[in-house]
Amino acid sequence: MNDEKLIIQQIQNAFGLSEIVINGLEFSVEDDEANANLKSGTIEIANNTITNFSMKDFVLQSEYEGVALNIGETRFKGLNLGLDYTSEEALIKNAAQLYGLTEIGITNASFNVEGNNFGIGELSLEDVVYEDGMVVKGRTKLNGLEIPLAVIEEMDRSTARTISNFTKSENFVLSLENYINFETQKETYDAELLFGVDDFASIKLDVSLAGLKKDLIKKASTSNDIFQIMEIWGEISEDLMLSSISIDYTDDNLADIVLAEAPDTSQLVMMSGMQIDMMLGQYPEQARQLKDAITGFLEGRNAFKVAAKAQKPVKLSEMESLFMSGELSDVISFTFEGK
Amino acid sequence: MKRVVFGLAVAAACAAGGYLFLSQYAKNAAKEAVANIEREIEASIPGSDFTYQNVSADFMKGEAQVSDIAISVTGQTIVSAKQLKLMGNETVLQNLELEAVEGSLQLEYEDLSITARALGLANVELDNAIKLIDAVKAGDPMTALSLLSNLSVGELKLEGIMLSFKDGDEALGKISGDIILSGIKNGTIDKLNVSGSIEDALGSVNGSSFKVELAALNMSV
Repeated sequence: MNDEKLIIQQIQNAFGLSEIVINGLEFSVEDDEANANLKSGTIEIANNTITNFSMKDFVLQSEYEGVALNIGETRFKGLNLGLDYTSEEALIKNAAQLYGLTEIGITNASFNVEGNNFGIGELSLEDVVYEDGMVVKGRTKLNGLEIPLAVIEEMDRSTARTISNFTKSENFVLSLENYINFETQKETYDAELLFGVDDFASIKLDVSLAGLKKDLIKKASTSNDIFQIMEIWGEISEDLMLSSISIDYTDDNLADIVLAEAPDTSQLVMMSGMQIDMMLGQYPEQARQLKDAITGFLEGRNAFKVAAKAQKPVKLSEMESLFMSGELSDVISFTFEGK
Repeated sequence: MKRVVFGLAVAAACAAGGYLFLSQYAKNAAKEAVANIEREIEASIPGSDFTYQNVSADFMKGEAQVSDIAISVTGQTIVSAKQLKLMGNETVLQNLELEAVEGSLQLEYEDLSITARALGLANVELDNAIKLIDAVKAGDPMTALSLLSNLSVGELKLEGIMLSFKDGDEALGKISGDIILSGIKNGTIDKLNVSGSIEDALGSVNGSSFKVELAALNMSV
């Protein structure tokens, strides 16, 4: 066995170690005025898998370079060491399984470079469930992502000033959450997506689909031929059905900014009403609800909700013809709310 | 009543005599063992002299104690210890502990001084250890390496160790801390516990002076 193979084998076996615990590590370099501290760290290994990795209170600072990195906590579970990480093929094949990871988390992390502070309140991947080498369930969170306004200012000074006026902060804070649940036996797929910007607005999207074939999804996720992938997605969409969808928009200041230079509310209501009447001529009840919701939102500027629920799942490929024929409201009920 | 007192006095005298006899026997055995160590060391290190102050033995514990030991080479003391404690038999060294160890070495570019609160070995299988020492003495590193994997040591302990590097009066750096290795067998170590610090005052290693401090590192297989 050559040296490289021997090293790979040792890494896959974690050099025979089952646990490494480190406490109170401090490192300082005097000339660079740099230092690094770690309060505690743990690695647990079993059966070629890192079953638990956690690191708490890691700080890295360099006065000379003007950088500081702080990580409150970082952790992961389930990393498969048994893979050959030098093989591109193995890497692609296992990417869909996240290399065995069932949990990833970073809490209270910040990176400061020359006075500009980037931060993450929480980044996590949780409740991951694999089936047949594919992720079928999991929740991803990215909360409190701080981007310094100085970075936005470099791209667009006016936007940065507007943001600063509303947030009264040096940072722009984003949040993103995503949840998926693919019930392969039932062929249903539920997804939630939440996106928000502090002091501006947030939007939540819920979708429930049916008729999603696991075999086709797996084929698409393991292929690296873009034409084949497109062909497979064509097949998938043929049978794909909508069970329900809802979009919840919650406003903080964004509507005020966007509508600051728009015509007054009554004009906007009238203009949007005309458009809705044109588009939804065959659906007078839904058109009335939508117009009421828009009026409510323009007056209150607080929240807007659109929801659609099918009596039984409706094929996406049939929705256009159902809409054109005026039969869409027979199979899907719509709700609009604005306040 | 007088008979009882007399009987007790005889029993006490016998016990004291037996104790003194066994104690003397153990002391003699300990002296012989230390004399063996002395011969081994002086034969292994050319120009060396192994000295010690006093040998005592505790036969109840099966422990030999040697005070104020020192090894000097060409008249210069390279290592000394306040006390050496030894316990074991022909096949297993159950315990070896050196207390208040001091030593010094002159390296190519610096002087190294070593101090340790205690250095210890426990449950060493002597057969393979002796083979390893013989291979080292014979200057056969390949055999020594292969024998190293056969070495069986219950525990190797370095407590309160400090290595100071100096160039004349100028401090270059120091390494201090505690190291405990447990369960050394078949070329693996069951547990490693390390704590301490490394300080490079003049940047001798990578050009910048640095300091590393570690409260605890525990590794297990």
